[in-house]
Amino acid sequence: METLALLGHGIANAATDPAMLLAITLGAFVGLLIGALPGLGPTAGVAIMLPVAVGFEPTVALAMLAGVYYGAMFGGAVTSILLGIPGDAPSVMTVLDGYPLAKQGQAGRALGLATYASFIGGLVGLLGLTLMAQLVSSYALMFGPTEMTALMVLSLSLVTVLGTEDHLKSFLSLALGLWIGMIGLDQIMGGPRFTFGSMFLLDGLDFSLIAVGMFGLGQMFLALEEHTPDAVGAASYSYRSMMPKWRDLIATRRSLGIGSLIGFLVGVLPGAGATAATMMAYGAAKKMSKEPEKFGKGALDGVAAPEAANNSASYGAMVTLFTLGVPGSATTAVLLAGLLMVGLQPGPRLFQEQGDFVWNLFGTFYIGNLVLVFMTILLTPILAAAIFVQRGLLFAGVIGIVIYGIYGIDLDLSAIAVMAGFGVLGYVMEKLKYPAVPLIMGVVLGPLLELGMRRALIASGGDVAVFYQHPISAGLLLASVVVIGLPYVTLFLSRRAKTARA
Amino acid sequence: MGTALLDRAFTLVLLGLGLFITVSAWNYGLYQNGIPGPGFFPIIAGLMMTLLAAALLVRDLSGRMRLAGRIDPVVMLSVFAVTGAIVLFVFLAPLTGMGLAAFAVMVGVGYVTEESHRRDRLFLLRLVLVSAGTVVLCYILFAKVIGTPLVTGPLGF
Amino acid sequence: MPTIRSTRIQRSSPARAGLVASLALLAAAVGWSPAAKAFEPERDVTIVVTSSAGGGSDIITRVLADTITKLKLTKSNFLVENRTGGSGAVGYTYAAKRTEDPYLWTNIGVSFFTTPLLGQSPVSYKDFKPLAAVSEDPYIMVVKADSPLKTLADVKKAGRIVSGTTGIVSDPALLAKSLETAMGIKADIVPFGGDGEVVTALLGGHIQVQFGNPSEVLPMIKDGKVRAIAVSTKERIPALPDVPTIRESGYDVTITQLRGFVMPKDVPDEVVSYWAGIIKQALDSDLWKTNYLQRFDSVPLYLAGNDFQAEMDKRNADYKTLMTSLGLIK
Repeated sequence: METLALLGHGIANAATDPAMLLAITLGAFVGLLIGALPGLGPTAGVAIMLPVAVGFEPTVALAMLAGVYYGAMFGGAVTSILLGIPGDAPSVMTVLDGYPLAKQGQAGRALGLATYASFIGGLVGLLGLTLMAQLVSSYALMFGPTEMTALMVLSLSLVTVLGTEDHLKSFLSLALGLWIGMIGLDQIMGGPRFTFGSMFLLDGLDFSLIAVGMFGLGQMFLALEEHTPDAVGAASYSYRSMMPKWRDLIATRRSLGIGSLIGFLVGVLPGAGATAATMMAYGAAKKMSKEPEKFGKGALDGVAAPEAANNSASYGAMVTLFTLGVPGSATTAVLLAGLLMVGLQPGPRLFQEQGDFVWNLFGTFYIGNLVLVFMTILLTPILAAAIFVQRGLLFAGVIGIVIYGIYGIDLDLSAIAVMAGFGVLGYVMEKLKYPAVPLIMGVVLGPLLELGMRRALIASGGDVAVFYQHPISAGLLLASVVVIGLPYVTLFLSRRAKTARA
Repeated sequence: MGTALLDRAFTLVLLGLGLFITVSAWNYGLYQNGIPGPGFFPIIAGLMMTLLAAALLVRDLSGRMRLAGRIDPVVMLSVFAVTGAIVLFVFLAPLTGMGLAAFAVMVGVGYVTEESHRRDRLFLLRLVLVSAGTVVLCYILFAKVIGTPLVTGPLGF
Repeated sequence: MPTIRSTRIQRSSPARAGLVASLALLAAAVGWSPAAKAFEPERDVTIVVTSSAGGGSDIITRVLADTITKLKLTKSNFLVENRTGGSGAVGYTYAAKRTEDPYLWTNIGVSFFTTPLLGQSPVSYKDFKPLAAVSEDPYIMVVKADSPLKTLADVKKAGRIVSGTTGIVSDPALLAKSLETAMGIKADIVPFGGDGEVVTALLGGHIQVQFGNPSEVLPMIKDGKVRAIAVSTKERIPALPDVPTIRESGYDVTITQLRGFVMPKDVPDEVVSYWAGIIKQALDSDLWKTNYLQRFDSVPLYLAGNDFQAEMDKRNADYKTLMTSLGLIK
């Protein structure tokens, strides 16, 4: 109860202080913009704002930085849905159903849903962060390399759900992704792998290059095969169709719930990241869905689950930052730097020693989340009009922004050529009916699996028994067996039932 | 080009890549002090790729499952043109600066991707304006607001 | 005023030049008088940081630049550029190519030595001229509060430790390997992606020992979540007067995190000494003490010229030994 009172006070403070409101709005707007730019994601956004923000008073500074963080999670969806280009890594999964919806003339509907999903996911994450932080952080500590390995096995077993009917091609796509994820310096032994002597490949391929190339450029190439209607902005589109719908929220409530939950729980885990969370959320939503065949062709659930997950994950990642002073992700590491630079030491004592600061800051998160909803909803009809733009002009503009965005990641021009290569790969794979999702899952989850397993085995001195002796790990591995095996079991049972009846 | 032919070529590329990964992984070392080493996971990916690609090749050659359809040569040309333009940008940018190079690429991409019957004068004018506008916008956003050190040419942008 | 032979900077923006001019006016107005030195800066300084914004190297760079600017020690402004990628190779190569640029500092970290040693970078530390080392961060060897290990003697008795480090080619890994040799124990290294991951693994009991940075570990020590066993410095550190150094315990191991800056190889000596002087003034200021040393529990240090060069040679040899023992180089 005391927590609620403190939180209420914090929210009230954030809502009534004009300086604070300005900081939140500015941070959220910058985040929205950076999230929407292909290539630049939340980490880059917060880092860019860091030198600006530390000049202000601590609460204002952190409110602004955090605003950039969760604002980027809202913004990523915009380009994903409108152009099929993931604005940042955690919004990759949003492309899968968001873009088909936009092509069906329902861009506004998808954007609206993404916004509400972001808000709901954010709210769930916030409640977890503000009300149960201490409890949740002890859960995070239970997750060591062993448990992470098991979690990744479970996540990768979702490939069977997320691939296509053609299992050969699904798993080939996964193998390709796993390999791409291994390019660069081996993080355990330190030697280079598959770098072909190139300096550029030492740190591995940035996931944004792959995502923007395969989805963004790939989609652009595919669009060349279609003929656009002559009259731009034909009568089949109306602004009314672009307004968000409340009933979509009710229809997708289960995906919103599971997405928010998975997002938060995975976001809390050190090193797992929001992108991995969106993949698991999408997989779980599809697994639970009554119409899994609609996924990838414009399912509302396919937008709701990952968008709820990535926002929820952003608050999950802050749990260990505030309770232990330990950043669990790249973005929270930059936030930690921000805290230190304004003279605050996050950690177990922050709540006691700087209680006002913490609760006021948490208050700004609630307000910021609300501000973002209004901001995005107001912009939605304008943004959604992008589909009215003549194709040649749209593509020209998009290529320009992509070029600058990709260059901005590592200040490296060759990254742009690599991105183009992935564009061709994405197009070829689509033409040859290779699903792209297993590939990106391999790139994101594969390294987590490899690192987890090798770390666990170094710590255990090479003893494999740790994986089934640890209860959490054993449970997760059992769940993977169920995910992989269940379809076959039900198939077998239904066949037997049929033969029995016959 | 027939899609089936492209499919076979792609399978062969993956088969070769799979073998390459397997051999490299072997050389990285599968185990180190009894613990999976740098080559352990790559060899799994490599073997997986090799075996699956081989299976796919068998399925393809046996004729049980082949993709129908062709890839429109115009589309294929456009894909090459767009990719080529982007690669050209990478070489052009250090000489002219990112601004000019991006402008050239954008005009090129816009022209190629618009349908032929709509490439009239008005379109070209709009294209040039949009491209120039995007360059200016990106310059302000990246160089001035974000503070990214862009690659600049003799004109300073 | 003697001019520098060639500046070789392509970027030139009138806006920035204007800013410099107005700052110079401002400096004149507040009574800033140039000392009689051979080199006078006319442009802004770029500092290349090869890791991303928000990391330790980035923070010290920004705080230093901020301190110099606030104290108006020079009329140049400072621009921090994060050129990441290639495990540092991208940034260092970029900086080394501008061989005579008198307005280019580069922050150095562990990868400054290790990536070239791996044979993965076209440039090495020999392609740079030492500017100044500015701080030396201790590593604190910590265990979880309920761990049976209380002193290094306990560690020796246990015979094997599982330590978590940030990356394999890093100072903590070097520490673990050095202790392994010095103490005759087995020290397994579990490399993680960042300090945060190591701390959570330690608190969760997945690893036994961490060699942590003060800014991360000290609050946890104060809070009783972890216990310090030893520090890696030559002398005990002020924040932990009761914790012995590794050397005191009879093992000749001292490894600290060196933070400093270098300049391109062909920059004239008078330019380097001008900037080194500016840095020295900044390090001696109270502002630096409050904004950096106290906040990040760092140990003050200033090395320049030959001293710094000798330190770099020593570090390079240490890393080479570590990497050879790990089998990374032959």
